[in-house]
Amino acid sequence: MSEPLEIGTNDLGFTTVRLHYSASPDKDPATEEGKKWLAQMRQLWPDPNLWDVEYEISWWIAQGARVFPAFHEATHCRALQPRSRKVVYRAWDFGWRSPACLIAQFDPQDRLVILHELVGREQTTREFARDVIAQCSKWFPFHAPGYRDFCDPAGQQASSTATERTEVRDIEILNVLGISPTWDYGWSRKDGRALISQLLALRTDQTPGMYVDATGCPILLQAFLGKYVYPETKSGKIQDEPDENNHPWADVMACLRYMATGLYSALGLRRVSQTPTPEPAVTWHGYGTPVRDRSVSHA
Amino acid sequence: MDLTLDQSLDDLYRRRDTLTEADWASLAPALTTLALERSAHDGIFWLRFVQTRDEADPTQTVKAFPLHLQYLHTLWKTLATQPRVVIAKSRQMLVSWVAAAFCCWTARFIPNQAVYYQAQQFDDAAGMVALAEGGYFGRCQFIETHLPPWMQVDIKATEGRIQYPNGSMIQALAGGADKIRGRVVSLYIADEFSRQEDQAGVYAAIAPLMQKGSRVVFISTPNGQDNYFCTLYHGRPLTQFGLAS
Repeated sequence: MSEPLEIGTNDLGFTTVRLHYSASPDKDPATEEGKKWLAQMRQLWPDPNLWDVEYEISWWIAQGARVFPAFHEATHCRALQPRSRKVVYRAWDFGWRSPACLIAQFDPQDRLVILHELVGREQTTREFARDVIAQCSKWFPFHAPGYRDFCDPAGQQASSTATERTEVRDIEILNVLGISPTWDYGWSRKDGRALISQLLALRTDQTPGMYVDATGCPILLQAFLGKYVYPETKSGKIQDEPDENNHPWADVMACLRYMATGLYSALGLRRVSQTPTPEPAVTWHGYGTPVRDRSVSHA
Repeated sequence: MDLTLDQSLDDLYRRRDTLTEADWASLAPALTTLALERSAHDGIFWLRFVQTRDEADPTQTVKAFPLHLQYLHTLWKTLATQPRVVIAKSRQMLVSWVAAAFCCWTARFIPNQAVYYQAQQFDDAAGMVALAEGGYFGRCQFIETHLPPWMQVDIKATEGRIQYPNGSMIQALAGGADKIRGRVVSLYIADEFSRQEDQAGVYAAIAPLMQKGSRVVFISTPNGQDNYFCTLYHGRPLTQFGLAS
């Protein structure tokens, strides 16, 4: 918990001042007056993320519209424990600048729990994969159930042919290291985002379909809270596609998409494009005469 | 000046109505000199004479500077003693009023000061410094014109600029590196810096001056990590990541 007024120095030799509203007695939630002020203010700020930027001195929120506004730290973040008898799922996003890997399992209630993230910086796929293997062996020593890996389903990349060739090379590198990722064709980025939105929704037991370990996945958390956004144009309009060049946040989100598409049937998710639309009820005969109501009894 | 004198001045001002005009006339010049001397090196003492404007409170639009808020004392002391300050704040914390008062205090009590107040838009910066005379006051202008008459000095206020008889000035600037580059600065204040354009360029223009002794203050609410305000606050770019780090 931060102090209301913090003063320090940083590596650049600047004196840093962090001034939170609770430094003012009439805004301090510990006082009655402050409680009242806070309640009134929160009512005026329906977007909790905007509130965090303007009042809670949060550095993790950026300008633009969040891709997953349904994500809430209070609802979707938990301190999570790995399960030694369950398969570990890994999703990979390749790239020299910021390769990423998300590590997850199912919990006893069949929810997807994201335990860890690993994000490299200016690393080749081989170097990064070795780091991931080393780290996984520390986190899951002698893990008998094994691992299941997912990577980019072809077709999600903007430049399909060139990127696909690169992916093949990356997958070959993983194969050499004993990792055999799988992928599925035909998923668009939008489909992947739709699956994540389904995971964030509350189930009938009033819990979400996915939990994130905030300590183990800080970049994923930042991405959810505001770093993965539909950017604003200069005229203030929101663009149709998220900013996929915002590394590494877009990369961990890509991993999550691959995991959701790889596990969608196991997670009980539905693919929107394949959901049959119900036929409208027939209320007329072939020539347009209304169907006679047969429910009237003739007793 | 010590606490005893502070209390004596307070007592004397409190008992002003018990003095005859002749007594007050003989006492006033000495008191004025004492108060001005004290104000020159004790900004918090000077703040007791400062009035602020609260446009949102129609019952009392002019209010004494809220010295009862202890955090404002700490903030002022930091500004007065530290040459390079970066302030990340919640909104509605009166930091802009502190910054405006600090500009006035620096300009009026130290001769030949070049104080620059930069905001994203010139209108915003001018609103903090001075607007054309005869209408709504800029904040620094408001502070100067609402000091007790005996403390007022003959300032010249034009839109975005206040000039003091001691050779100092406060100048409003629009955002951008080209607006500050090449100027010699005594005190530089950047307001809502995280929302200004070309922050790295502004810092590059300011950095050589800091080495020469200019005081700089960067103030803002946060605006994510991809900006120079975040880097200045944390002392490093937060967008650096990776397994190695």
